[in-house]
Amino acid sequence: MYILGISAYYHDSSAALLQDGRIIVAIQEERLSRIKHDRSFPQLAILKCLETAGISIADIDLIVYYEKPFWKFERILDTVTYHIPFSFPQFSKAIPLWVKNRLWISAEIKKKLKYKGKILYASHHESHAAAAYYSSGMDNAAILTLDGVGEYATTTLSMAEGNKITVLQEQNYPHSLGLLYSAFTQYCGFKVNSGEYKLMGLAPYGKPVHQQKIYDHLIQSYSDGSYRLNMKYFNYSEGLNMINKKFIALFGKPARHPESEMDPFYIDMAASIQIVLEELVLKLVECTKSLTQKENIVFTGGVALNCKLNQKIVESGIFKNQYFYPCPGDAGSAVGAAYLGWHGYLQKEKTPVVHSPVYIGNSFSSAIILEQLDQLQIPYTVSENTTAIIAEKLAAGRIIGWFNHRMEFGPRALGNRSILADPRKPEMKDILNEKIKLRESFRPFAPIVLEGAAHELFDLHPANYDTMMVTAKAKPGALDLMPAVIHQDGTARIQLVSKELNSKGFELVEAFYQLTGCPALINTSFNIRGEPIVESPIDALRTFLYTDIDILVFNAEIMLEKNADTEKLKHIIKPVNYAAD
Amino acid sequence: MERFRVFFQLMKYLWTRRKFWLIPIIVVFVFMGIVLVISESSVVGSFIYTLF
Amino acid sequence: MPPTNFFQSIWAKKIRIIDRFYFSLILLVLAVLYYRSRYISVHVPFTEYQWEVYTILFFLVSFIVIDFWGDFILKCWLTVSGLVGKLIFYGLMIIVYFLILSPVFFIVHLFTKKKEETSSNWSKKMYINKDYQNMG
Repeated sequence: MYILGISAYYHDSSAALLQDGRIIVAIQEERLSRIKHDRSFPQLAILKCLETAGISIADIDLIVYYEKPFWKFERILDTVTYHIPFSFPQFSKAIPLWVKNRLWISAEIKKKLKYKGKILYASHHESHAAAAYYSSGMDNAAILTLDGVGEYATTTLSMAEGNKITVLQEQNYPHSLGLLYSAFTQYCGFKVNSGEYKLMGLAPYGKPVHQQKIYDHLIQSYSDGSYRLNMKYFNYSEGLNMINKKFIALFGKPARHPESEMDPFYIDMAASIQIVLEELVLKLVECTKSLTQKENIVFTGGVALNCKLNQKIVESGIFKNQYFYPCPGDAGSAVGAAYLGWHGYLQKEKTPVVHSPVYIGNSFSSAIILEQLDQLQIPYTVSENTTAIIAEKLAAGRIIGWFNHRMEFGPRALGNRSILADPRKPEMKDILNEKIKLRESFRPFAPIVLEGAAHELFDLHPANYDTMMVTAKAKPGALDLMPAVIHQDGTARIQLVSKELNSKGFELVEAFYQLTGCPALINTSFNIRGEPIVESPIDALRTFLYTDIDILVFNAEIMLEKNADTEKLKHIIKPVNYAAD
Repeated sequence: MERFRVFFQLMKYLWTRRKFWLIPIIVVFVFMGIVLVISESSVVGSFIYTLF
Repeated sequence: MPPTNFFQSIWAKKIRIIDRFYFSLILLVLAVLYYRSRYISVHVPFTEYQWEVYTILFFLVSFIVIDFWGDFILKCWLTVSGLVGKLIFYGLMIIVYFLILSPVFFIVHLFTKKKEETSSNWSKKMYINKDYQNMG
């Protein structure tokens, strides 16, 4: 039995395919359409899912959409009405979108996919929670979901037992920690919905001097974990901005102009909001504990992408085990929707999780890649034993584009569409930021670390460190061994790699370890600024050609070095200009 | 046809949510949406600029 | 949508021969209707307005045949009708917003009591529709 989950129209569209209780493939639309954070109907992703599974749309038994459209529409009209007469900009922007597509999602699905079966609708936060819980492999857990806003809910506490998820409490729009963080993102000159992680990366460089001001004016926190935003300072309910004049007057400086020189004032602002967020969420986690009395917590929703916050949750020790779903944003909800079709609607029992919730994208076999390379007449070498060769090249300071079988699902590249480099050289961070990724110099890089060696180098707690969702404090030896991946505050957003999870990635790091004594590599996503992570061999070739990546490796077998021949390719594969994110 | 089904479902939804005051607004917009979508998919469609 | 995008998107639009053909056909139908309504009561021999018919047919055929001419006319039409459409649409939005929504707003606010400040912001009165088949 096949169930298709769809997430579309708000942030990142995606599609996920479930077969008899197991997610077999999930893809984000942005990877295929090559538009970062693409939110259009995920037609390409759906077709690719079907193709990967080898089925057609006629084989799909159920389609589940990740939220309740009417409920959301009602919230928007409610908000608009509440803010009359100031909400006209909001109204005139939202209504056309709703009248044209969003209300007619069922008609759209049926028409675009030529689908004739049943369509179901799960609620937004339920989809988030389901994606995380059913992927976690836990049998019972408390679930904390925090995001910008779903239909009405912005924060939900749920409890999961067996195949059943029950929502216990929720907080509603406009009181939202996600939107609060986004407001500061905008204030500090980054793009809302995509610049939040830059704000997080900036935080360790500053001092939280505005913390008290935020508590005094912007947010009231209650002892039971709930909170209330002071809407006088925010504009997102009426207008098209997150913040208003009062917000600017409160802090005394106008919003930072995007791409302008970074003023220490905004760095302190980033540090302040990060601390406030951490304190408020820890309160929520405590409340979740006292309400559910569970030992496990699953944390998801867009706010869960804040890996520094996740570190605080892990270190607090409030729960015995924690699980951070690797795709907690709206893209991951397609997985949740599909799961809800199976466990919620069909009431099926849970099946043990057998594979990682990350490596579930589409793949290209070596035969197909060779055929494409032959067509382009590029010289390459094929070898069974590339990992040893690549490890040597890495140790010699070369930068590797690593393209390996199934694409990752979620915002992080976890060793299948990655750029790898030597973490022992401190200058590697600047080289990667400036020459390869073409992005801001303050942004840190994350290491991929051998699971067996990680305990000696990092403070680890019971959580899933395999998906770069949590930062860990580096032990003294780590900074000397791998200075390029330790951030300003002495932490690293590590990804533990094991043979079972990613055999080729493991082999490579292992080979590098044997050679150099350093059990880690720099792992950053295979893309440049503003570009979605590469999906196909051609995307990889393009990024390889127009950046300073030295060697490109496909499926740990096929190797391409940059030379005069690859330069000629520039006539065939043209660069694409991506808007800065 | 699907669109009319959605329309009736929406009316039913508003009824159960006791949001009667939203009905006239939604009727206007839904009607507009249906007219636009139908006209866009017909022969005349290519001569009407996609409004939104 | 900013105005520049509106004009750009129209002039960048690709117009197919079939579009030009349909457009001419629609104009022809309109022309026929016009003459039928004008000369319906009195019998006028065809020769009397022959030259008008031929001029119209000439233009219609040239819309279809000459690439530049047909494109230009169609794009002009799209611009004008688009602008009028936008005006009507925004007019409608303003009417709905200020004439329907606003009075409702005041009535609703008259009857709803303001939520009192409490020591918690959790909401327990949740609306969760467990019926997965329902869109709301």
